[in-house]
Amino acid sequence: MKTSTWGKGLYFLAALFLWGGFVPVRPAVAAQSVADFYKGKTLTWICPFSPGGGYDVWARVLAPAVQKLTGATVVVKNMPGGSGLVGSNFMYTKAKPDGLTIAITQSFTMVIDSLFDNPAVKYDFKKFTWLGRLSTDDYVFSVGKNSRYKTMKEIKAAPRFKIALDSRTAVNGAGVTSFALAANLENASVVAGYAGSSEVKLAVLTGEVDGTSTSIGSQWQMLKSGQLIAVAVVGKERAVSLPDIPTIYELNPNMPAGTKKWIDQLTTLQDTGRAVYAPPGVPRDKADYLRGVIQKAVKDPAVTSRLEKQQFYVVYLSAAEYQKQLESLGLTPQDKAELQHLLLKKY
Amino acid sequence: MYTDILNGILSIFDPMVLLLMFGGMVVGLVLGILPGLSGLTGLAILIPLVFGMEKTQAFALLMGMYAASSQGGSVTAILLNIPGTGPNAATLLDGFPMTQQGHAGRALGISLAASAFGGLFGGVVLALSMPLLRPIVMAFGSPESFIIVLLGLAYIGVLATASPLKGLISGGFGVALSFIGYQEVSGHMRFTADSIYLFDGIRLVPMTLGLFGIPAAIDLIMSGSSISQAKIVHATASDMLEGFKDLFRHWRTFLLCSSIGTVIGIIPGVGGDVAAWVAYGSAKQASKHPEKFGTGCPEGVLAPESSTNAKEGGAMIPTLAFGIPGSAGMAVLLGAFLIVGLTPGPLLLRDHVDFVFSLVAILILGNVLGSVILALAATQLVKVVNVPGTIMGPIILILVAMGAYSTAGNILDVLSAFLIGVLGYAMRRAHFSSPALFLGYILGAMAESYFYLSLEAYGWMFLMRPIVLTLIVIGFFSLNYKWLGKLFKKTGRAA
Repeated sequence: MKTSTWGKGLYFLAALFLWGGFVPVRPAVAAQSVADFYKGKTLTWICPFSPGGGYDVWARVLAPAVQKLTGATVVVKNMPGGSGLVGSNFMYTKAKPDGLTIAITQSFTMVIDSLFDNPAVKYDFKKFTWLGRLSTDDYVFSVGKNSRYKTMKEIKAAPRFKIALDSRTAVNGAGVTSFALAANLENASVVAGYAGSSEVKLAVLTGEVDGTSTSIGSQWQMLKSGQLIAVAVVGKERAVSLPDIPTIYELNPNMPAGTKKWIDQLTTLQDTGRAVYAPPGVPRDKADYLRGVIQKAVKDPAVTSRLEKQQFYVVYLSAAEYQKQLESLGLTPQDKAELQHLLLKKY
Repeated sequence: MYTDILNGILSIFDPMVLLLMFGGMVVGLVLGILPGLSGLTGLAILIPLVFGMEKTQAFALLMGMYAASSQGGSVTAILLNIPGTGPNAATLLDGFPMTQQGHAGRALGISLAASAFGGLFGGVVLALSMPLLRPIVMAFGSPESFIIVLLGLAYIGVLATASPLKGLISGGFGVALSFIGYQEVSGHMRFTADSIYLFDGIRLVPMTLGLFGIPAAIDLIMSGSSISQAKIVHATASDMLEGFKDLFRHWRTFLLCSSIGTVIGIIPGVGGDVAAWVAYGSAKQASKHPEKFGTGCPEGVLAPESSTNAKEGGAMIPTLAFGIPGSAGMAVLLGAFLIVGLTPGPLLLRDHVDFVFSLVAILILGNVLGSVILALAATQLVKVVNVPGTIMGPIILILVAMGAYSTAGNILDVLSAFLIGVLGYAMRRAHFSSPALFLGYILGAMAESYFYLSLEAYGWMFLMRPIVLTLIVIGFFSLNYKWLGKLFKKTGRAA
């Protein structure tokens, strides 16, 4: 039977493909460096919170620096929901460990949700490929300019000291609990349910509540204009921007060991701050490359100047150190129950 | 100081500023017209561009976009029964029936006029209240917000034309739906069945698209006829001018609703969605022929549209005075302030009076110009109402799916929208009021939180606060004036 010209052509093409498949012809790819891998690719940066918020700002300010350093196009993608849970779950279960997806996170939320056995948690935070910590967040406890109770003496003597919170989560409660615990305030009473940090601040200003604890950055404008008065910094050390304000440790130099244990635990958790990570299982060379990129990006003056305009300061910690910190976080069942009580029910 | 104010206003007439405002408006109009997308999406997209821009230019871009987006949303509400943004849901109550009767042009005219003049009203109030900004904002706390939201809920009964009982049932169900999700006060999850998706409750965009858009699409497909059921569609420039004149015919309604919008805008947190509905309910109560509301009555379009646009002027007040956003849009705009190196608050008003007034001017001009541009485009846009239902229906369904997906890239949003759509269609067949359900959904959880906060912070004495008392009295009379009026007439006659 004569084969048609078409048939011959197809036969030829098929032979070419089959033959080509068996010939090892890619020595150049094997020797491609990690840096070359990123050039021209798209790096997706997941932000598990809504656009416009603090975490979104950090990602968007750092993105151009990362883009310049890697040659990849960096796209920030918002994935809000469940206070960060949606993003964290996605990074653990769905994101590919090919080094092209990274995420920013509020580690405190991630860790607490996991430690408190939130049934919706699908990740093990210790298994993520951590790329570095961007900042800790200094929290400051403040009262309003027109508040009835402005000094610690007045606060302690108040019949009822109302503290505002937006939603009654463990993370939001931490700053408040640390302050109230350290100052030994039996009269503290949390008023939770405000729609957001703006509403919380307004409630303090109008006198609806007596005080609140939020990040220094979010209170900065009001602190500077005197509408809010800082009482104590919630953290292990004094804040750079508020050098005259004592820490909660200084409020109570003779803190009993039992109380100090909890305050230490809470401030350590708070210090986990903002971090960048990748899905578990990213190859070592790509992970190290990204770690180097992040380390350089946070030093970029364009980045730091933009961040500082909004009172965000870089407090970098290397991935190796950070991983060690995270490994040490764990709670015995008894501790867990008591911490939950302290954060969510005591006040 | 007056030279500063004048300089501020005149500074917006710079070619670059105007160009950026125009560009922003085009983006805003497109975003507003596409269901599911809104000014908030636009702000998120545009904010990174603002890094390094001069401040007047930056805000011309952002606010031009934001002002225009709500007008774009009105267009889809009127022409397609799909609210472009949350507050537009009230517009479709009378806007869509007007389109069905062939008066799309007039409805659009009203909407555009209300946008222009409502925005002007809000802007003027903002400018005039500059010296009083802080005392005004300080007077409003959780109790005041609670009463406003409660008033909004009370108006649910007013909205339902067919049967007040069915309206209340729908509203009640909407309130129940609003409770799904994480409860902020107690920290508990309610009705979430351990699903992360429901952690934040039923999302607004799938709810609006599903509740209003899908039943409309199904009706179109099943009937086969086009949106406009009239033989002739009146959509020429003169029809829009007719709508324009409607604003002046019903100037009392306009002033009432713009005031409501401005006041509600001043209160941080209560949200623009409330303003449109409270305005609609108030206008219906105050009208000489309330039974016409919901059937395609011009006042029914004028009311929500003027309040929604006046609201933004009001929302700027706490934003500028304290750096506390008066609306979701202002919350994102606050970020823009910080990016250009400004700090909202008393210092801003003292040191940058000129810039503050240029903001006011941008707000007003953005609304007015947005209306003009949309008016020019409207004659073309209106043609969709003549497309046969068998084509338009599926197109709307696709727009709904895209709109739902575009919020967060989550396919579950699309599923929600369609499930809610089934509910919405069933309600429509059984003559239960969808707007009542929607209002309950928006306000239910809010009322709960504000009530709790008021009690916790003030105890039951919160009801004795002056503004709260005033609002209770106004609300009581406004809702009951019909039979109260009869009562007084009777006693009058007896005496």
